[in-house]
Order: sequence, then C-alpha cells, then structure tokens
Amino acid sequence: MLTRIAGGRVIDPANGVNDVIRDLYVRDGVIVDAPRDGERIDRTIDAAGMIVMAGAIDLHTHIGGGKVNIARALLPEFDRLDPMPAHGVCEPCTGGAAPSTLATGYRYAAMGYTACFEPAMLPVNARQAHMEMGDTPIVDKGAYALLGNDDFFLQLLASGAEQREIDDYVAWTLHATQAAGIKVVNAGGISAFKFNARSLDVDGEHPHYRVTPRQVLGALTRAIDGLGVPHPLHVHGSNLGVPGNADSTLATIDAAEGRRIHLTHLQFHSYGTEGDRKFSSAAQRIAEKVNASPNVSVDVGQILFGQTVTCSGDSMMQHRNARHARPAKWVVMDIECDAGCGVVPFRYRDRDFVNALQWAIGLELFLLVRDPWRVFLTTDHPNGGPFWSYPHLIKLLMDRSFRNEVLSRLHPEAATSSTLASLEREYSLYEIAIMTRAAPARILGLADRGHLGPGAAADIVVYEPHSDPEVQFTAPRYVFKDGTVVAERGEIKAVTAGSIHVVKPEFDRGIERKLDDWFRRHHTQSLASFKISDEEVCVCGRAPKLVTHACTHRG
Amino acid sequence: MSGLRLSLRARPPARVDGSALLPEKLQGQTLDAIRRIALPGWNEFHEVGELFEVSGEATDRLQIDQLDGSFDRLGALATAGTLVLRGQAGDLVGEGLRGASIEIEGAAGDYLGCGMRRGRIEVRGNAGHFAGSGRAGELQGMSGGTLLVRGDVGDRAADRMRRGLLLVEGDAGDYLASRMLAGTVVLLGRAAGNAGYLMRRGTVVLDQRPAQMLPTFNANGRQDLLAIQLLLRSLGGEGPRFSRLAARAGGFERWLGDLAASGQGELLVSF
Repeated sequence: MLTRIAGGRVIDPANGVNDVIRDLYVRDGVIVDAPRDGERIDRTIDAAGMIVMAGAIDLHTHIGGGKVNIARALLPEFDRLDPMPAHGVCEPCTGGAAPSTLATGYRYAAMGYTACFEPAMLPVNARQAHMEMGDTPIVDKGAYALLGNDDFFLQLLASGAEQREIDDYVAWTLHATQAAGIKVVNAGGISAFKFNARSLDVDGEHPHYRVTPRQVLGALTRAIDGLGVPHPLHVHGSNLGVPGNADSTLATIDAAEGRRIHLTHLQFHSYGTEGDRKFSSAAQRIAEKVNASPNVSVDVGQILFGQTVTCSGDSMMQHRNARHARPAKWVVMDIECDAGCGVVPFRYRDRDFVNALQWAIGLELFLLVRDPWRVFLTTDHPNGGPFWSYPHLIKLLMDRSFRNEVLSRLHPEAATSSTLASLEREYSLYEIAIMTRAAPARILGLADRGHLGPGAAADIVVYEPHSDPEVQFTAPRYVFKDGTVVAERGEIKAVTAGSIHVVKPEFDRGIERKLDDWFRRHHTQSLASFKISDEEVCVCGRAPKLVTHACTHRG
Repeated sequence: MSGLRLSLRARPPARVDGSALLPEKLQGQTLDAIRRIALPGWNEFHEVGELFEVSGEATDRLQIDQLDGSFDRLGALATAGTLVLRGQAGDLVGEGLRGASIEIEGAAGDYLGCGMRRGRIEVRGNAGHFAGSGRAGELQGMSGGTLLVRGDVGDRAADRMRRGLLLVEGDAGDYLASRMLAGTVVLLGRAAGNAGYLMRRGTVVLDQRPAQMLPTFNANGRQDLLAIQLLLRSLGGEGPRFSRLAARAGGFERWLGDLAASGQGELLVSF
C-alpha cells in the first residue's frame, strides 16, 4: 500500500531540510521515493499547513528493569490517582509516578515518540527488562547494559588485564543481554558502597579493588571506541546530587581523554557550593567545557515540579538521598552483586530553594550548550519528572517570556543564584527537531530512524502548528509508527508492537571460558541460561523485528 | 422520605466504581441528567439509568437500595450530605471521607472508611477486612472522624490508624489495630489473635479479654484513668451497649506495647 502525506512543512534536520513543503510517500512501513507517474496512491493524508517531523526518540527513560517494578510496588497510591480506563483500542491501566507499561507506550505514542531507550539494564536483569519493555506497546525499544560495578569487570581491571580482554567482555555483555549500548553508573561507586564507602571521587580508590573511577571510565570508553559501538559510553557521573559535584563532572570528561562520552542527566551533576546555602549553579562552567569538547554529548535530566519517584542503579547516592524521601518510604538494595538499585520517591517543590535552583540549572544547560546535536531533551523519566511533561519543557525552551514568567513564581533565590533570567536564547522548531529526533538517532547509530529520507522507517509525526508549543507537542494530528497511524490528536488509534534495537560488535569468544568458570563459582545461574538469544528476545520482548545496528564507528 | 433514591434493578456484569454517586455532586441535577451519568466498570461504562430506578429529588440526601455488593467506593471523598446505603455495600465505602455522613443499613465490604479524615460512617451489620485502615501503599489509615460498626469487623481493622474513633459492637478478626499510629478503638466483642501487633501509639479499649495477648506487650497494672472515663462517657449517645460500658467502667487492665515497635500504645482490657 502506498500512502502519501501531502503538502506538509517538512522539518528533517538529518537531511538538512528545514520547513520545506513536500510530499512524503510510505510503502510497507518505510519511507520511499516519490512514485513514478501513473503509480496508484492508495491513501492520501492531507498535511497542508502542518509540520511534519520524524518520530521522536527518547534516549534516556527508565521504562524497564527491576527498579521500575519496585517503584510501582512502592507507590500504588499514585497509580490510583491517575487511572486510565479502557478506551477505544486501549486496555485499562494506570499512570502515576511510575506508570504501567501500557500507559508508558500509549502516552509516548500519543505524544509523537516512537522509540525509547532504557538506560539502566542490569545484565542479570536483562531478561526481565526485555519482557517489561515487550509489554510496552507501540514504541521501539533498546537498552544500555550496566557495567563498571560488577565484580568480573573490576577484577579484570584490578588485575591489570589487557584492554583486549575488557573489550571482549564488553562485547560479550552486549550480545548476551541484547543491549544497544553500555552505561556506567557512579563508576566503581556502587561496588564501593558495598565495602562501606559512602562516596567515591573520580580519583578516589575503590576500598577493595584499589581501582579509581577514572580507570573504570578509561577502560570502558576505550572498549566502546575499540569495538566501534555507535553509542558513546553512557555515563552517570560520580557524586550525583552532591553540592560541588561539578568538579567530579569536569574530571569525568577529562577521564575520557578525548574519547567519546555521553554524560547523562547532567543537571544532577552541575552543582557548585557558592552562596550562603552552599548550593549554587555550575551550569556555566560545565557548559563551557562541553562546548569545548566535541567528544562529549549530554542529556539534561530536567526536573519539573510535582510528585515523582527517583529510580537509579546508584545505591550509594540513593542511600544518601533516602532522608529526603517523600512520601517517607524508600528501597535501596543490591541486585545479585551486578550493581545496585535505589528507589526514592520525591516531590519537587517550586517554593523550595534547592528544587527551584535545580530547575533553573537544567534550563541553563539546555540554553548554554550551543550545539543541539550534542544536548538531548530528557527528564531522566521518572527521576526529574514524567516524560509526559516534555511538551511543557519544549515550551520552556522555545518561549523566553514564558520561561521567565515561571521563574518569577519560584523561590526568589533561584533567579538570583543562576543566570537563567539573562539567557535570551529560544530554541527554534528546527533545533527541537534536532535534539529530539535527528541527534538521538545519530548518536545511537540508528541509520533508519530519526529522519524522513527514503529508506527510513515510516515513524512520522504530523503536528498542527499552534502558537503555544505545549499544545502543539502534546497531541499531534497524526503519529505514524512503521507506516501505521497509531495516534490522532492524542488518542491512540492502533496498538502495534515496536522493534528492539541492539548492537553486536565482533569479539573473541574465548572470553567465555573465563566467564564460564566465573559463573560456575559465583552466579545463581549458568552462563548458558544467562545469555539471551535473538529468538528469545523477540519472543519475550514481543518484537516483530530485532534491528541490529552496525558497529562501524571509529574514533 | 425526602431526597434522591436509587434502587438497583439489574446486577451489573462486573464490579462498578460508584464514587460518582455523591449527594453533593448530584444535588440539584434533574433525574434525567442523573440517569445519564456513566459509572466506570472494568472494561466498560454503565449508565445510572440502566442500573437503577431513579426517583425523588436530588437534595443533600441520597439513598441507594437493593445493593448487592458489586458497587465499590460509594461515598468516597464525600464532603457533605447524607448517603444511605441499603443491602450489601461493596468495598471501599467512604474511602477518604472528608465530612459527610454515611449510614449503611446492611453490611459493608472490605476497606470500609479507609483513609477517612472527617465525617461519620455507621454500619448496622458487619464490615469486612481493613475497616478504618489505609489502602496498599498508604502510610496512614483513617485519620479522623467516627466509624461505627454494630456487627463484626474482619481482620486488620484500624491498621495504621492515625486519628479518629473506631467503634465496634461485635467481634474483631486478627490483627486489630496493627501498626496503629494513634487514635482510639473501642471493641465491645472479642478480638482474635495478635491485637495491637506493631502498634506505635494509640488506645484500644477491649471490653473482653482478647483471644491472645502478644508477648511484646507489658502489663501496666489495673488503672482507672479519668481520660478513659470521659471517653466512654462521651460514647453514651452511640447506643445502650456503649452507655452500659461507661456505667460500669471501674478501671481497666492496662497493657503497653507493642514493644517491637515504639511501644507507646495501650490496650485497656475490662476485668
């Protein structure tokens, strides 16, 4: 079937197209060239006057894995406040602070998001994470496997193993867990917490293994580059949320020694210690460093006011944050010695100095990092706020007077302690399209997503232009997922199943001999059952397709 | 009898959320408008007119007859007016109540008055489990108001109770006042096992020796406390059985616990 999306204003930064009126053609779920004369067009969608973009991609959103389920179990009271009764093709479910899988898929798709990446999949939890993501309808999924706090890796590093062996272990992990990238959370710190450390600086020594986070970051960034994995090492830095942690963040960038590195939820890592309250914005220093370092990309992890729940593998920092839990209940636990898990519910309040300044710091980062190809729109869902607040966040970026009006209602010192009020930058639609589509696809190595050229998957969003970006981005006129109209004006019209995105770099399988012995001695399962096959991940992840992206990135 | 009257005429195919049927919300609406209100079921909505005969006039008094236990959350979050339920009321009646009065001329399901803050609920028959408690995930149970059950209550009544008054004329199941934070419970019948389990503070008056006393409660001797006399005297209006208790109150055996929690709660047992 050939579908024409006719007469829309196309914004497609990956192909350098900015607001050009043209027709798009879709056949069998893929965007194709304009048909030759006389070819039959089965369906025409009139997009005249509307804005056409590729489906949006969220490269950091916690939608699967043990911690999200723990958050759901911990906070059922918020589910009850946000019921989503059966409606049209949608099954009944609940939203809330940690939304159900169904609500996650429906709400993402209704908003024009067509791919979501779970950033913290513990290898030992990978099977469950894929099943949970498989239960999330419509959107494509991928996940980053956590390394850097597991004992096998730390022992390799401590024993001075060759980089080649570390590369093999990283590649083996990507294969075994069906992941799209590697993430490190508080490098070495989660493990150090189990040896009673309560903080670990970038050059601090792990109390047992005697390695430093700098060494962990060095080895992992080298492995990612060496293997040609498209997504840079995804780094949740040291000292999350601690005043003065900007120094750790700058040291983390240096630890990459020019190799590619992605700093996630940077807002939580950009704090200084100035002022009477010993808490200040270091956004300017951090942004300058990012601007000067072309190997660095970041996502912001903007906070938005209201109830949420923070879910993190960083048990060290979540243990520290637990005293701020609201409601006063929390979970910090180890997960089979693979890494950690901390779930702390949180209510960000606009009249609270710290929260208001966090809000301002996030926006400062968005506005001060100049290259929209290297800064991504996230709230670190659900940690900084739910993903369904993205349209509001886009409005904050696109409309300076709105931004300053919100700022004026916050705790007054947020404005005086940050430069936000003086920042004049307003994002254009083109820049929004870069940061939510073209750039995430590029940095994840998704060749067929995030753009509208021939050969791309027909993940397309058609927006009715509106003077209020929040309105425009909340309920697009049409959302196509692989060529199917899945949502219209915010209402789900079809429930499809998304693909799974993975990378499979080449490596020496000899590493399995060592791993087999390790599994025999220390694990609760055998190496053979730990690994997830292509067939299994498609079945348990309910995916019609496993999309393997090329590992050809060099340098 | 004045007010609006709904009489169930067809059993719904599955459970229905009846929380929209509040006197304060229906007051002043026409009967036709009320018949068109859609109540959410599990996978579909049911119009009031399909399920009930609707008669009378929508004032601040609403009576629902012939209830069969399939309507949940009746009177939830109500702030004003009077709701009379006849028959078997479902679960979660008066959840989070904020001020209205609910009279149940029959029995109630589980989670009666859970999380209620103000107002009054009176049940002529029995109530299910978790009466006056909180729902899963809530840190507190009922935190105000009066919940009176003429019959028996099931397990876990007053679980995590924070404030307010739970009065029970009949017996209580296991774990009465478990994890109680504060507030007052008066039980005229007999409590089954583990009464006061992990209670931190609060007062539980037991007119009969419970089936079992937890080993983590310490005997504090026989006490005749003025505060308890005043409390029981204030309950005289709640019926003859309560006034009899007040009249013969000469003191109680006082037990302090649960020492496995903070241990500032008290069980006062008649002797």
